Amino acid sequence: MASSAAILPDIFSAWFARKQWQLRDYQKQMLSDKDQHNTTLLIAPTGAGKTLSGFLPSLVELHEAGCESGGFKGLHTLYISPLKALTQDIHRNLLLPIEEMGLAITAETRTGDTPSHKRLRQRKKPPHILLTTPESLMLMLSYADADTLFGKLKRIIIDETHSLISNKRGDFLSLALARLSTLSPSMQRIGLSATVAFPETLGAWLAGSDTQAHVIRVNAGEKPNVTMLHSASRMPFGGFMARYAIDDIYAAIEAAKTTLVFVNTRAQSELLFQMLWEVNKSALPIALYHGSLSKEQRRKTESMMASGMLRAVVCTSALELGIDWGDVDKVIQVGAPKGVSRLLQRIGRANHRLDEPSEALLVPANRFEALECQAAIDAINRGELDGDAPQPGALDIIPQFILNCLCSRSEKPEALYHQCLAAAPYQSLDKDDFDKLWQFTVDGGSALNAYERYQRLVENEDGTFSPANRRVIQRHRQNIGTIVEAGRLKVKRIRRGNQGKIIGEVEEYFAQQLTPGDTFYFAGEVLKYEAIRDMQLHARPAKAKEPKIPSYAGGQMPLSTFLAEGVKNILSTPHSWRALPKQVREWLGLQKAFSALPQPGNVLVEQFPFRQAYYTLFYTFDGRKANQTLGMLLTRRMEKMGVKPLSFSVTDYGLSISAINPVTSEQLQRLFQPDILGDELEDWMLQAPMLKRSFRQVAVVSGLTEQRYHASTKTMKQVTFSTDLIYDTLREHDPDHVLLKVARADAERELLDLRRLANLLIRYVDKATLVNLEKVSPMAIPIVLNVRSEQIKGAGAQAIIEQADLYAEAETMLDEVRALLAVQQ
Amino acid sequence: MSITDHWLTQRVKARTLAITKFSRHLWILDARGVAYLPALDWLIVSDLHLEKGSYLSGFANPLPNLDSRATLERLSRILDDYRPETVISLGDSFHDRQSMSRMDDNDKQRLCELVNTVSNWKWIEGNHDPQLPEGIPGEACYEIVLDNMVFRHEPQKREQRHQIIGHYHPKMRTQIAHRRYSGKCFVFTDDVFVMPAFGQFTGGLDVNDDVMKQLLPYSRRTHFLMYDTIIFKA
Repeated sequence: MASSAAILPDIFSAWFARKQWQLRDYQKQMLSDKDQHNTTLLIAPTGAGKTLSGFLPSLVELHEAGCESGGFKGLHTLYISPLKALTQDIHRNLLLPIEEMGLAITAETRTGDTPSHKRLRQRKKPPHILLTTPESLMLMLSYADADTLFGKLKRIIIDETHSLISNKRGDFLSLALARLSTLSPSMQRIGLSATVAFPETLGAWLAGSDTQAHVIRVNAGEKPNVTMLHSASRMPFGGFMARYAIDDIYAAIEAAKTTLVFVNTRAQSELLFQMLWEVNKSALPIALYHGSLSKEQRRKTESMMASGMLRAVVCTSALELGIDWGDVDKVIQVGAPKGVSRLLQRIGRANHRLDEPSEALLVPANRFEALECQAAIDAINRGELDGDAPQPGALDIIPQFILNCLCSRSEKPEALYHQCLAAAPYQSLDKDDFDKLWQFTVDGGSALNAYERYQRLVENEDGTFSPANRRVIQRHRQNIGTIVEAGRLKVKRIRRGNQGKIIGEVEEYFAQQLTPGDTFYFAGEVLKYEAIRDMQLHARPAKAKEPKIPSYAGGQMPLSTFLAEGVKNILSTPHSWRALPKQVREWLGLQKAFSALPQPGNVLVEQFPFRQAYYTLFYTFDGRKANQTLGMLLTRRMEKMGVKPLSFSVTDYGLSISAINPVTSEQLQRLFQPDILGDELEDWMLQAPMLKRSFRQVAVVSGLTEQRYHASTKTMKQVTFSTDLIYDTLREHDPDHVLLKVARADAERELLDLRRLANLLIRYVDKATLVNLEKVSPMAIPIVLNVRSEQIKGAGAQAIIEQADLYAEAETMLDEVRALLAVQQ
Repeated sequence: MSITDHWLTQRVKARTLAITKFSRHLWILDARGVAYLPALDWLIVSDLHLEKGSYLSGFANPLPNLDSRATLERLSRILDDYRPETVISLGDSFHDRQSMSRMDDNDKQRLCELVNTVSNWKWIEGNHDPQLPEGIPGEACYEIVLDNMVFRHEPQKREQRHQIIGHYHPKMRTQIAHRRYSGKCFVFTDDVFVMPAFGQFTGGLDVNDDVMKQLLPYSRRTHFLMYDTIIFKA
C-alpha cells in the first residue's frame, strides 16, 4: 500500500498531522484507485470518517487543478443527501477542512430552503462542489441549461445510499443518475452506506445497468452492547406505547450523558415526549425531533445537540439520516425494532469510536414485542443482518421523469427509454409500458381525449416532444417535491381568525381521520383540529387533558420478515426463554394454559368472540406480505361462504379477521385450499382498499392529480376530490388505462405472487389447529388492538347496520307509500 | 311513473331505498343519490357538475374526462327505473359555462336523449351554471315552488317556506358497533333539505362543517347515509 505521502498532496498530509488523524487504509484505497473504478461503494459504520472519505478524491483533484492549470471552472462534484437540511455534518466534514487548509475550493448547499437569488447565482456561476437533495437535483435537471451546468461533472457522491434501495425516492434518484451520465459520460459515482446485508445489490443500484461497483467494506468494529429492559412495572399485553416503562426510560437518561430515544412513528414521539416531561423531576433538557416539525424547530434542536446542551432527544427515523451527533453515549429504542439492519443503523448514531461498543437499550411496548426485541438481540449477537430484496422501479415515477427531461430539452421517446434502461431498477422496463406512460404524459392516456386542451406535451416536426406551454413547465417544477413526500399536509397553528404559523406537516391519512374538535399532540403541545383549508390543516392550541385520537398504529414503516422467523424460533425453544423478562415468561405460560403456543410445523388458529364479532387469528409468522395477501384471499373466501367478514389486520406474525359468524373446522380446511382460481383474487384485488391506496399514491406521483394547490381563486376552490372517484371511474369506463396497471404493480410490491401464495397454503392445509376460546387470548391482544384494520365491504358491513336496527322507519312509511300508489293506479 | 308496490317493497327490504317525510310529503331516498316524490311523480337530482374532469384537466393535470359519461350512465339507469313525469336538476348541473363546448359528442347526444325522454325537465340555476348552455333541451329556471316547498340551488335567508337545495355536497362519517361508515348523505331539518351531489367527480363537505352546522342545527337534523349499495338513517 503506497504511503500517504505519495497519495496526498503535502497540504493535506500536513492537515491530517495537525489533527492527529491517520489516513485510514480504505481512505488511501479510495484515493489511489479513484480513476480505476467508475463506481465505488463504501460501506462503513458511523464514525469511520465516511463522509470525509467521499470528498477527499474531489478535494485533491480540485486542489491539484488549482495548482496546475489555474483552477477548475464549473461544477466538479455533486453531493446528494436525502435530508432537506444539510447542516452541521457538512460543516464539519467539508467546509472546515477547506477553510483550515486554505484551499481555493468553493462549496455550497442548495435545497428547497435556499433563497431564489442564491439559486440563480449558483446556476450562473456554480461552485466546485454542490451539496443538494434528490428533489433539487431533479429540479436542476429540468432547466434549459442543465447540459452546461452538469456538462463537466466529474463525480457524484451519494450519502446514505442504503436508505435508497427499494423505495420511490431511490428509483427517482437512479433515473437522475442515468440522466447525469448522459450529460457527462465520464462522471464517476461514489456511494456512502451503512452496513447492509447485501452490499452487491446496493452496488448494482449505484452503478446502473450493465456495470459493476467496486465495493469497499470497512470493518464494523465492536458489536454494540444491546440489552432489553426488564422492568419492575407491569408490562401490558398489547398496545404500542411504553407508558409502563417511562420511569425506567427516564432513569436511563439520567444515568447517561446524552441519549437518543428512538420511536417508530411521529405520533409516538409526541406522546413519549409528553410522558417524559411529566416525570422530568430533575428538569433535564429533553427535546423532540421528527420530520414533521418545521425547519426552524429542527435546526434549533440540531444546534442545541451539537453544543452539548441536551440530555436526550426523542426522535423518529428522521434522525437516522445524515446527522452525526457528537457525544451520544446511549441509544434507547422504544417499541419493537422492526428490523435488525435498521436498528443497527440507529445504534450506530451513538458511536464515534469504533473500538468501543455502543450501548443500546430495547424497551418493548408490550409482552409480545419482547419476543421481537429478543430475536433482534440474538441476531445482532450472531452478526446476522436483514435487508429488502430489490424491487423493479416504480412506474409512476416515469411520467415525472419524462416531463422533467423535456422541460430541459426536446427529446424523442426512444432516447428517454434508453436512459431509463440505464438505471438499475428500470433495466427491465417494458417498452410497451413505457409507451403507454409516454402517452399518459402527453395527454392523460385516456381512450377518448380528442380535445387538445389536455395535452401536456406536443410533438415537433423532427419527432421530438416538448412541453405544450409554460404553465406545464411551471406546474411540474412546483410539484417535484411531491414525488417523495406525496401525501402530506402543512399544519397551521391558528391564533386569531385564520392567522397563524406553519409549524410542520402531517401525513394525509392522519388528517383524514380527524373530525373538527378532535385533539392531538403536535410539536410538543395539544392542538384542536378545526378544518382543512387550502390544503392546510388548521388547528388551535387547546387545553384538553387527553387527546381524543389514538393517532398512531403499529407504524407505517416497512417491516422485516427476518425477525418474524426469529420470534418463531424463540417460541419453539422454551429453554431460550430464560433471557426474557419474567413477565414475558409468565405471559407465555398463560398463553399455553389458556390457549396454545405456536409450534413449529403447525399453524395455530385461535377464534373468540370480541367486540360484537368473531375474531379468527392465524399465527403464521410468515411476514407482513404473506399475511396481507392471505388476508385478502381468506376474506374473499369467507364472503363467499357466508361467514360475513368485517375487517382484517395484519402484522409480521399473524393475521386477524373479524366476522359476523364464526368459522368451523370444516370451513377452515376449505379456506386453506391451495387451488386458487385465477380470478378469485383478481376481482377482489380490484375492489380492495389496498389497491385504492396504491392508486392514491400513484395519482400524485405520476402527476395525474396535484398535491400543491395554489387555491387562491374562487373557481379553484372545489378542486380537491378523492382520487378514489377517479379510480372507480377508470375501472368501469377505461379499464386499460395505464395508471390502473401502475397502481396494480405498486400494490403487488406488498403482496406475494400467486405461486408463493399457493405454496403457503400447501403448508397450512393439513397443519392448522383451530382453538375455540371464550375470549381473547393473551397472545392475540396486540393484534386485535391494532388500530389499522382493513374494512371489508360486503354482507358483514351491512349486517352490522341491520343489527343496529336502523330501518324501522322505512317499514312503517312503506305502507303509506303503498297506499298512495294504490290510489294513483 | 313506473314504480310498483312490488319494486318498492323489494328495494326497501334490500335497503337500497329509504322512505321519510319532509314538508308533509313522502320522500323516497334512493341509495344511488336521488330523491323521488311519489305523490307528484317528481325525481330530484343535484350537482351533476358535468365536464368537471375536462375543466380540471385544463390546468395541466391529465385527468380523465370520463365523468360526464359515467354520470349520465348512472342517471340513465335511474330514470329507467322511475320514469318520472318531472325531473328537477337542482343546480350546478354543468361545472362551468364552457362545459358543453368540451363535452364529447356521444355524451352530448346521450344527455339530450335523456332529457327528451322526460316530459318536464327543469334545470335550476346554480352558482357554477347561472345560464343554461345553448342547445340543451329542458327548461331553465331559478327556482320551483309547490305547496310550501321551494326548490332552489342555494338557501336564502329569511325564507319562510321549506327549502330543498343542493350546493353543499353533504357527506358524513359515523360509527356503529366499532365500525366506521362514511359516504355522501341526505341531511335535513324541518325547514331545509340538502340533496347529496350526484356528479361522478364530486367530493363532499362534512356535515359537521361550520357552514352546515349553521344552516342545519345539529339537534334538529336527520341524516340518511349512503354506503356501498345501501342507505340508512344514521
